Amino acid sequence: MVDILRDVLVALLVACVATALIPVVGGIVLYGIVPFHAVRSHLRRAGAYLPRVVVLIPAWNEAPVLTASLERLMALEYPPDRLRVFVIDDASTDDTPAVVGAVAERFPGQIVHLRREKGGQGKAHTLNHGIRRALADDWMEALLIMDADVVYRPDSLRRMTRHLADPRVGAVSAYIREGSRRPSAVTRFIGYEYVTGQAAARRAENVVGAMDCLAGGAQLHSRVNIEAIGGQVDTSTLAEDTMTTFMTQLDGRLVVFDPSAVVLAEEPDSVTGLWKQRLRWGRGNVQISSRFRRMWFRPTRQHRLGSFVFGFMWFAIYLLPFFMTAASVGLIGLFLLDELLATWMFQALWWAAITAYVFITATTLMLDRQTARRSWLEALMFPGLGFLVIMAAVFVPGLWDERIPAALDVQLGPVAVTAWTLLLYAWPVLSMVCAWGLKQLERVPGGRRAVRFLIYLVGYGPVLCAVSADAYLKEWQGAAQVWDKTEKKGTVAA
Amino acid sequence: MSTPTSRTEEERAAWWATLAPDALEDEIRVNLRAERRLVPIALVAGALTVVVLVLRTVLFS
Repeated sequence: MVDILRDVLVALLVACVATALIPVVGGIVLYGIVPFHAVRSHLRRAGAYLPRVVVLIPAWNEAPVLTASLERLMALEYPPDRLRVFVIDDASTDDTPAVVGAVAERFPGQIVHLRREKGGQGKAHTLNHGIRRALADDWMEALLIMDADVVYRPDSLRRMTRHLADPRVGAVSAYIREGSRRPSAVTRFIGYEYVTGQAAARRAENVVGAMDCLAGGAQLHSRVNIEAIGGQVDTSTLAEDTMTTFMTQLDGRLVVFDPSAVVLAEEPDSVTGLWKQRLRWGRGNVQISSRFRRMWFRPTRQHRLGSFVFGFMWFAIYLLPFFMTAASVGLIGLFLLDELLATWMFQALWWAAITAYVFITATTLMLDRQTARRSWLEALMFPGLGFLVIMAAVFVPGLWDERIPAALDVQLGPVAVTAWTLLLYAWPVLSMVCAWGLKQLERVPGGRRAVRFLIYLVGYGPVLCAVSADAYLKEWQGAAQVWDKTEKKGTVAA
Repeated sequence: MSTPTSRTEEERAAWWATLAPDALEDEIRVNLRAERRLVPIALVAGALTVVVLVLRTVLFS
């Protein structure tokens, strides 16, 4: 009886470790799909189309960034008589009205300042104020929703509108590139992450025919689409962009990504800022996963959101904290029950991870060479030094417990070897705890400087996983939905 | 006017910016062609991955 229980426990622990292969396989599958974009891009169905576009900019205390954004919008290579900009001022208390007024004077009739006297309800409410105004007459044919800090390249809007020549398309997403003039370590990591999350992942989603999220700062909708989804964006979740994306596709219209429509955005430069932004996104995605629970893995002819591939890619990312925890629990449990099996599982898991790491990093660096030039170190250090140490341990047998100690003329005792092994097994969970520690460290004097270096040790990937774990926790606790605006300083290279 | 294929990159971008329908169609074609680079990128990344795995097998097995 004891043997049977032990065997069952071992099987469960092996299954725990095996679940950690899901995100690894997910990454390889996603990147394996990317090259098919060469033959399955929506550009084949795009056409010369320049509709009358209303641009919505929700703004709450955005004075430092608005001038550059508005000037770049006015410099778009797009017919001026087909472009109107509505700045929806959410009861700003800074110089936002004056800044908008000054630019509007230079471009009469093209920039409109819409003031909400009662603000603070969140971005979705602010957007809806502008959408109601845009839909009030027949002038608008397409609606561009952007963030105040986003700087559009001159050719970006027309590269988005051309997809609306295909009436099946409801919305188009541009490629948001991190564009700070003097990027911090965190912003460099974000820059690299955006290549993986947009230039790679959204190309794959174009091929699959299902998009997870329109970029919040650069999404273009046809008028038909905005009206069909109710003439407003959802206000009940923290992920109104994802909600709009899903509703568009569930209603039978396509959402496409154009990688050549590039816009630049300012991103958080600290772990605390990143945490605040991603916690909102993460909680929103938990809400979306739950809201559409009957949609996942149920293919229909109307849309591809229910396809297995899309569901697999979605959950491979959003369940990462659980997979990492399962890996650590499984490996440590196996170590106590069957040390040899633990070693074998550890090596199998990390061989798969090494394969994914090399393939994904190499592809990503080649996809966007401009970002690669400034974020190559962050690309290599994305998993953090801790995980690179683990990969080295698997790549070179006996590296840390035999070869290096021997080179230093030191011999590790059995206790030290056991402690080291358990540290490697526990690192997936420990890295998330350390990531949370980075956020706390930024609060103490001098901590921010230390975090600049420590984030390379802990890794950016573990920081994102820790934020996701926090998002699940906050949702489970039923924490209040607060719209925490990401602080912007106007550092995008305009 | 010269044909699109004989233009330099800057001239071509300037032509696209005129927003003439044929210019916009040409821009679409060029962007579509640019996506072909994804195939060699994937092949190079795949080859690099194989090299790393083979290298390890040769050096440490």
